[in-house]
Amino acid sequence: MKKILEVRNLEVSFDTYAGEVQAVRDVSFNLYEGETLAIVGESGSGKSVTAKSLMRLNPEPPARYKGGEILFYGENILNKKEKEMQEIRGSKIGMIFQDPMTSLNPTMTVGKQIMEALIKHQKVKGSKARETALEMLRMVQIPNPEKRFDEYPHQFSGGMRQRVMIAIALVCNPQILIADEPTTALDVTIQAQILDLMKDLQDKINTSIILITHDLGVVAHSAQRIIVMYGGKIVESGSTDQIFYKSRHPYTWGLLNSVPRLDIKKEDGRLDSIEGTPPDLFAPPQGCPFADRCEYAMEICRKKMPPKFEIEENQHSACWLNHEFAPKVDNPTQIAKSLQKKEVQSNEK
Amino acid sequence: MKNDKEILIKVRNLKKYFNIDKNVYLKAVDDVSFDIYKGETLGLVGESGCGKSTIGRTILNIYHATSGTVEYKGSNIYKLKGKEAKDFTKKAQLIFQDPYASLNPRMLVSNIIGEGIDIHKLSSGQERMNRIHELLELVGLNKEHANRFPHEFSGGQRQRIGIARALALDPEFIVCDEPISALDVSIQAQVVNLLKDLQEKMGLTYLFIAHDLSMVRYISDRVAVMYLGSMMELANSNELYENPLHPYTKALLSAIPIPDPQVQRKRERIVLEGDVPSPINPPKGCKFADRCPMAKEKCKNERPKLEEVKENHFVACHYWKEVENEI
Repeated sequence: MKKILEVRNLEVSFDTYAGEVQAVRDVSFNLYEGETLAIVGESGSGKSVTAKSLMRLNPEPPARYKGGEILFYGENILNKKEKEMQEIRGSKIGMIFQDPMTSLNPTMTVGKQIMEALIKHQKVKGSKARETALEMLRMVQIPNPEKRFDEYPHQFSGGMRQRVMIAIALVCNPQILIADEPTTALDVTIQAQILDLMKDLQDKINTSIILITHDLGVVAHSAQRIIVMYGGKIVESGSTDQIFYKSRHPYTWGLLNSVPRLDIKKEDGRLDSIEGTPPDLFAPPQGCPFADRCEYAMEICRKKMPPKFEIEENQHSACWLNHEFAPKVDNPTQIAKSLQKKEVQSNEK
Repeated sequence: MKNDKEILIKVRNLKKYFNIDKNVYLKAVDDVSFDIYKGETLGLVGESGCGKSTIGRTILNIYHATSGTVEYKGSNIYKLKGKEAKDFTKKAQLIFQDPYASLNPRMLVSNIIGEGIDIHKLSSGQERMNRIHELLELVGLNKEHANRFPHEFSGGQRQRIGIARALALDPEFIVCDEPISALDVSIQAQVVNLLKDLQEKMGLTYLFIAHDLSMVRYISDRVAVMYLGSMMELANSNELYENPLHPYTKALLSAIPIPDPQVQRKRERIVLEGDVPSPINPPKGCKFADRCPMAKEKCKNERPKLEEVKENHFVACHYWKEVENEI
């Protein structure tokens, strides 16, 4: 697969009155053509800041890119001027935001908002742009596109607005689509429609999608690869199956165990919660950011940040438990156990 | 099962219409009847705008019902006067969705929690302070937190303060209006566990309103599904999830992605076309008829009633038998 984006040792900080918030610390990952990569993490884990950095959308200041590089087709985005960034935004990289109510312009018709990107980036004339924009509205399955074209965002429902956002983001056929919690504000039946739509469009125009979410169900449904972030760092990365079934990081375990499942019978047990709260990024711990909440934490965890251990091909986990001298701990999640059971059963047969 | 349980709250033909213009009404809750048993958790689910929060507030008499009755231990709460009315506000409490907006930023935590104690003149001075400390410890915070302001706390901690406030008057019944929606996944589990522990300890009854159906299945004994102001189905939680009899419930359940990639890839989804109709002019017949894959002529003209079709399983659909056979 062709690599289209490479993030190397990215460091992003915010300078505030209270001091420096180290939001993203030493983050590296690749994005390949046509794939869906999910970034999972809680609020404050740095997932949105990472994604916004790819488009330089974090206002500078207070944001400051302390180090690292973001290579988009070999060119470092962090060295580009604002003018050059404007050529990339909306044309080569598109973005969908969480809240479709506030991210559309309420004073512009929906059609105009879709045409805006076309006229700016592809220098097409009005009538041609209108045609393409109408085609786009049809593609995102808005009924009656000719009539809806001249309506304003407030005349659309939440799900319809999110469709319009997708149309705007994809109208210039971008190579990358960043979807920042695209369905969090929507109801589940609408969420299902939007996720299906994104998948269809991805097949049609072969865009790579970076999906930022905290909903593990959405991730299981849509992603091929997953990055798990915590306290500004990537703690684990791998394919969807590797992360769900063969994770080697206690934070991922905790995350997987703390969500109840719809398809599993209610028992009177408790949910396995992760006690405590995420670290303070004003003064991030010098060791592993999860050490304070981790039930397996060892002495070294508080002193030294664990390196990326390779678990399998393409799976990396930043946890000292994977060191050869560490005590052996089995993956304790329900989901891993259920898979082992299935495997044992199929072997017996 | 049904008879040996004491009914704590009995809701009959409850309607709440909001007058939004001359002779234009938004029918947020449209003729809903159900019971809540003592000591249980009744989950109330549905999409946004289906009237689930309005039900919660109307039951507590925060919104005045348009018509219908709510009985608490046999007496109609809308007819209570004087001391009895004040007593009801002690026994029934509410936990809000947004822990950032529901705590007064200018009040100390001790005064937020103690406000109810002051209003009902339950205690004062050191006794009041002791009670506040006790409550803080009950919800997993500590005494020192009493003298701080809400902004000094994280979302999960604020929600704990909200819970402590609800518990201050020894309530019997608590409406939890999406208490975990604004929290992170790992924190959600902490708060849900806390609510469960408190229920066991104090014998509380919950009406748990949420749109996260997985969490509702986990916490509730029974679950009610709402759509556009009407109750579509009500059953024990395992029964509802394993054997849904309403086409809407089926579609809703199938739309929720399961956090297990191998299971999720094999699932078939019922994708509903279109959006929820406006509650201002809801359809004359079954409210779900426009989007229902099984709708027939009768559905468009005649509104089905919520009926007990099996023991403890209520459904409002003319053709529930066909839904059952389809599975």
